[in-house]
Amino acid sequence: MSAEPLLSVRDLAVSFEGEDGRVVAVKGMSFDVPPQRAVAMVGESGSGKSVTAHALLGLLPSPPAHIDGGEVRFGGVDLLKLPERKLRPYRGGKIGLVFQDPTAALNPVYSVGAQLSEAIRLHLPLGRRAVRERALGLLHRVGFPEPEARFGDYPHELSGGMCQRAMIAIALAADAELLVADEPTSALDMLAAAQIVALLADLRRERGLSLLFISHDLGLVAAVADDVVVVYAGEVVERGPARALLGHAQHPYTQALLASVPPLRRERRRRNQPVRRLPVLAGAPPLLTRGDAGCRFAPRCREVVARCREAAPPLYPVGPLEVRCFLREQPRRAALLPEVAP
Amino acid sequence: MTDDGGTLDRSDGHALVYVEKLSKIYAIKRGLFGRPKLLHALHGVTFYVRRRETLGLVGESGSGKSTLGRCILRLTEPSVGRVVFDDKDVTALGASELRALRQRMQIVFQDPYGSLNPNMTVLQIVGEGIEIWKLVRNKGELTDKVVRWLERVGLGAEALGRYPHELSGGERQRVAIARALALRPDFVVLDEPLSALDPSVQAQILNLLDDMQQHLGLTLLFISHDLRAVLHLSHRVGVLYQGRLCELGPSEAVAERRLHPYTRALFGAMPDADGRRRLQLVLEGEAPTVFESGAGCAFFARCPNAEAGRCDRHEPPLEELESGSHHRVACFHPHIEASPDSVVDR
Repeated sequence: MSAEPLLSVRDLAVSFEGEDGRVVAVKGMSFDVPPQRAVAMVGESGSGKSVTAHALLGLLPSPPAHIDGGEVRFGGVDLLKLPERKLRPYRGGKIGLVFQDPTAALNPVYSVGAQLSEAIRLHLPLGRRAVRERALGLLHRVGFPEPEARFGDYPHELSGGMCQRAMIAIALAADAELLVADEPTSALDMLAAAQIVALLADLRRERGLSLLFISHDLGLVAAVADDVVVVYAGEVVERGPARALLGHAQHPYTQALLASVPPLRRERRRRNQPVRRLPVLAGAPPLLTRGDAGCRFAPRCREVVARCREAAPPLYPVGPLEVRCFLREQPRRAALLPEVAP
Repeated sequence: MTDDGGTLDRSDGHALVYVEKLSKIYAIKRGLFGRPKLLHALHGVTFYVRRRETLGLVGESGSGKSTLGRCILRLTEPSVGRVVFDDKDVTALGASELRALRQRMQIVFQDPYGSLNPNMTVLQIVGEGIEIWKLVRNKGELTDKVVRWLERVGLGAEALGRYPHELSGGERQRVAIARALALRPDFVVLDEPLSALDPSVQAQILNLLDDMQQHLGLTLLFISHDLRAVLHLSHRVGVLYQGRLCELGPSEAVAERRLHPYTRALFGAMPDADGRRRLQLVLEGEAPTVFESGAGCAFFARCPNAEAGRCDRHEPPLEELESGSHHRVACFHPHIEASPDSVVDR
């Protein structure tokens, strides 16, 4: 991560006004997306992944949401400081957005072609014919079947996978530099999900895009990401190159996430013989309040020690990774670094 | 299919559920005077589930997997074919006999939020069936029984007075499981019980389902599009494509050999987090909607191994490749050699 990042999030804090007072969703969130790299953000529901993605572009309804602090720098400009009018060229323009449920994200009363054309007109000064040509070209590129014939199809006439392809075309309407994909595959079948991930990977290479890919499918993350950021209770707990992080995770939370995925079992099992139990992570991420002390993961951590409840750990370097855990604090001796694949 | 009789293994006397040449055809109306199109949601599906076995069925949306689960319980009427449950022909039963059998055959649906009445408390939801089937004598016994079931599925008595919207997704699915199991069924259909749940919660539910099967001696039909979860929980697994079973066998054999090209494509779409098995996209596009089921293999149009003149003219029967292996495939050109990446599985 040596290059100047395209997107740089620093100490982002977001809270929501609720009936029982203020609930903190994100606090101290910091990460970078370097140019032309794919960064995956992983974590459970409620960890603050989606809130972060929405906050980047001022998409959180306020109230109840409130940005309590931090910076979101895109190409050097702090997006959080921009007024709504100046944010528009970024939202859906320089930064394309793909959401979890494409059937909900698309407007049901306009055809796919009309919505894509609208997105192009909003950001580019093109005439009618040029808009249509560009729209068809984009649909063709994202693998939308028979773009000409199905230009006027409505979202309800399309499968989830086709809707998601249309969403990606809309996200690319104005030559985005960064694509933010918030769980783009979780509403899709296995094959459709794999196709969407392969498409995102291709588009990134071909267009030199940066990608922020939010997902809880660690296999698909491995297929697309250069770097991984693991988020827990509104902050980053581990980050680093994808191969090293997914293959040799250091944080107890990341290790628990990886362990909860069923392995592809090969041994024969008889009836009346139980399956090998999956190690589970009981409980849920905590609700954050203002006066939290200690590691946010401590209540669920298998390796918790007294120190974890007293002070909040910083991110420690562990080989190529950064890990928010006291137990991974390394002596300053290179010889003691663990072996981690490059 | 003409040779379905050969694919039904009746040698195992322990089978609790037989599904025989089951088809479901929907007539889709076209305009006011148009002749309706026939949509074959299920086409001659034949398999059995042994007692205390978990059979997994994997398939994508539109493969007919949910229709199959519903047809077995006759929540949807099958068009053709038979379902035999504990030597009773379910498809021939009248309404009252069917009702009596319902206690023994339960279903847990995909979206517990949609299938749990939002205006009922957990006590009412889990207790309803117990009352209807008169499994208790009074209210005190009812509450005790509901609490015991909640505890068995990992919830506590404090959940009794809560409403579905006050529960997390995982807790709602536990309530749905408790509601089904409280009737002491022999057979439970699990229709996508994991979708919409986080992976860590999915792992908890998978563990719970296996515990329940071990302790209660349940027979399970586990329907999901998540091949990884299906392989984990199931003794045997069937792969559905466009309403037909294209591969059926012991989970470890299917995972290792992946005889059908479609099965192989599903495995390719399931990369490992540690990068040992990479994403291999074998299939482009989507399964077409098949009307007026014609001759030939349903997978012909997308199949990398397709042989013109044979695969498009004749429908491959679901047969054992090696007799006695209990591993069946419906393909004229199955993959004989093991998949190169199957050896790295843990």
